[in-house]
Amino acid sequence: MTGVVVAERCSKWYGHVLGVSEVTWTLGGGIVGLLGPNGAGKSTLIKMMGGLLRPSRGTLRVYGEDPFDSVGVRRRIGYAPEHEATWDELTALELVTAMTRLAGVPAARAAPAAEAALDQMGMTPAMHRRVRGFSKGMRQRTKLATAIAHDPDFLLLDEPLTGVDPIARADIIDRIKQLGAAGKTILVSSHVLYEIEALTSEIVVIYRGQVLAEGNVYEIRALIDRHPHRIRIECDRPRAIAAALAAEDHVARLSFDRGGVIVETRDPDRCYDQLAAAVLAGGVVVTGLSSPDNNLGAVFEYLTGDGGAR
Amino acid sequence: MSAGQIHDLGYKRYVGSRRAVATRWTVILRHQLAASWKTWWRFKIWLVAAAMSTAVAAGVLYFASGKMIRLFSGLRGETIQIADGIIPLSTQWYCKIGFIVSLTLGASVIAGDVQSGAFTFYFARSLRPRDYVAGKLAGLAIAMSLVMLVGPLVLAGVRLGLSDDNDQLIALLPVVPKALALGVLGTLTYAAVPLGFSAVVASRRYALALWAVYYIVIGTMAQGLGAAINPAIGALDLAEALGAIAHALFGVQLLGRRSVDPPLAAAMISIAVQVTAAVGVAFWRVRRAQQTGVGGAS
Amino acid sequence: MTEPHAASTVATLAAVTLKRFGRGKAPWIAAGLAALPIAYAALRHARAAPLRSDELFALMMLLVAVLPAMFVASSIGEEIEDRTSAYLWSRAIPRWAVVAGKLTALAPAAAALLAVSWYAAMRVAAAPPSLVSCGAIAAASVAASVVAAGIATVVPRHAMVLTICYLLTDNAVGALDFSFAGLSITHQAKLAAQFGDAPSPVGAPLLAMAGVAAVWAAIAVLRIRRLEV
Repeated sequence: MTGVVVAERCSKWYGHVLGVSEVTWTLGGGIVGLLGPNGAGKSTLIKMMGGLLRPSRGTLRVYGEDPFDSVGVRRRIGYAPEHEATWDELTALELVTAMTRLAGVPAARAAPAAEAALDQMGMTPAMHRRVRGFSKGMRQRTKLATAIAHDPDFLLLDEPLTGVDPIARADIIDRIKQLGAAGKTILVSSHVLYEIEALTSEIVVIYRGQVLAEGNVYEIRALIDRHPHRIRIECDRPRAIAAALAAEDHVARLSFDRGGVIVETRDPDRCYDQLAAAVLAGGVVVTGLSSPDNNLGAVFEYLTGDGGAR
Repeated sequence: MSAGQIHDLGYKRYVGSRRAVATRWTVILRHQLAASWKTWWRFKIWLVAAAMSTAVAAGVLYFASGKMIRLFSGLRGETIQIADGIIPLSTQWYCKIGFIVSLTLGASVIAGDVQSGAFTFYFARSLRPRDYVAGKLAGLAIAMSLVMLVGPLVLAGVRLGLSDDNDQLIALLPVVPKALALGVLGTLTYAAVPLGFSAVVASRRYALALWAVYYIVIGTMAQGLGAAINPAIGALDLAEALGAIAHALFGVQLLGRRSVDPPLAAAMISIAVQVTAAVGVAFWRVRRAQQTGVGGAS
Repeated sequence: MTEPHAASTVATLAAVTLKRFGRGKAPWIAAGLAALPIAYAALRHARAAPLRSDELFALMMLLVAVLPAMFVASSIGEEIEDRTSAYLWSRAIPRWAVVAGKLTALAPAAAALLAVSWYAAMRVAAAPPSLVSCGAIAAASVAASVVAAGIATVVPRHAMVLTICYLLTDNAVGALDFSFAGLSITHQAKLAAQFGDAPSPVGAPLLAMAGVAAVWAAIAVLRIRRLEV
């Protein structure tokens, strides 16, 4: 198997606590969201990819090498950790320059590269200020700058939007997307679903240390056939729609809410076809059509079977 | 636009009885004890060292109590038995262990809370600065008493147990309150003074360093000044002061010029002043931090 | 882009460590501590109570037990405990370079401070000390720094405390008259500074201190290679 990351029955435990369990998974490329509730094993998996932890059992290779032991492969990785602690006594420029030099960039080019990275993260006005006085958003941007300054091929971003205000969040999301568009492989972890949704539709869902699902979120949704798809139709005569669909074998349930009818179906494609026919035949005026569970939150909830979605 | 609504989700405000504010310090005390007991390096291993010291001293007491000791003499210069000198002699070992425990537990406790932002949690509640200081001091004192108080009391018990007859037992009974007094003074000293240092700077590292330098280096300087200029100066060294009190309580003195005991009054005043100053500094610093809202972790 | 050369990595880390060190309270506190022996010597001199050089040397060795712990042990220990080492472990650097970088920055600083303190205190107390004794203090400080680094990689959370305990025990062992005293940095420093019972060659004590330091350096390297964040 080839890929940026190849994990083969990879497990990690801390004493009696299981971090990651029997993960067999390949990361190809592009922007991928690593999704899971707190304590699912996201950071453990990311740290193993970044060379901070060694698997207790199994293997995990990045570009074909063990990142814990291989200095060379770590040059191709840019890691932004989850925690805030950093070298607060330094200015943002000094911090990013030092990290860039430690990543292999020659001394003469390290400072310009650091400046460019800080500029890319919108930190130019503050780059000569000490990190100690930064807000959470500024710290997150500085962390991201340390991760990208040496132009790595593979970015590991562990909860990059934690504690960031909405404006900064939108800005950082845009910048991550730009990095993805520039050809980098980016793995972004989060437990906040709409952050991942804003970044990518390629996800890996991890829960209790195991990979539950991977791939495109809509494809995953289609595979979850134990949960019928919900389609909400807002119209002037919801009971007419309901009557037209009630006898169909793919319809699991019909319910009404204010101004509309919710159809739960096991075959959404057939349902949409029949719905169109029913609307035309009955002269129903449709004012809204939506699929409340065709999103990451519903997918996550169905996969994990609890209220962990936000 | 529809009217707003507040939904009753079943949460009910606690309406039961609440403990008096004056008991909050016990919460801090329990937390301090729990934190002390957490890892081996913090307290348990030093407690084992204290227990081993006590066992060794008790063993010496048991097997060699009748032998004469050359390290000490009576106040009039007469030679004394090991049994009479073992408790004051053991004080220096308990002081060493007490110092190490003060490093791991006491010297960074307030600095650590300031650095981690714990004050924000503490003083967002009905906790007063004096509750905080009292709780921390009491917690440290209880932990320290296991080192500084239990050992001397055990040795006093062994000393009594080695009595030949009831008359000797009764004659030796004062050993127990002496050991108790010594233990209490030692507990208070090694609990309070490092607590004061931990309040001086808002950094664990520097609080530890300052206390270590004060105890080791400045203490040694005080000893040297005491030996060379005036013995009362030596009372600034906490271990020296406690040693002097131990010697005075048990009626012994060190032979030779290896050290010159500070006078008892100087030793008592030195400990009283340092303990009071330390508690005062801790209280002042905590109150100031509470009033200025210091302690939020960045 | 190639992997950074080890020397360049160590130099970068040393420069960053020094910069961080200089911006904190550490230099002021260290200067204050280093002034203590000078103040002590001055006080004794003013009260016409002469201070013997071996007495002052014993005091300096107590400072050797504290200063490297404050500089090196807490620097490495806090880096690991606060998880700022996560930035370093994910970089293309050999892990031993982190310890080497910190030692390169902090060990000479501690050694220089203590040597200057000894020289100044001796000038006040009696007469300027020999360069050999200054070198002995500096060597002891460097050895103590390496010990501190080793302990910090083993028990990062209590690095400073355990380093002080180790070096105070080393101090006590060094005062004893039996064979184990040879393992004591304090004992070897005394011999190198010519405070032993008889004049002795300087090379052997320095080599002994280097041996103790080498053992702890090996512990540090082996430990940090396996450390997980």
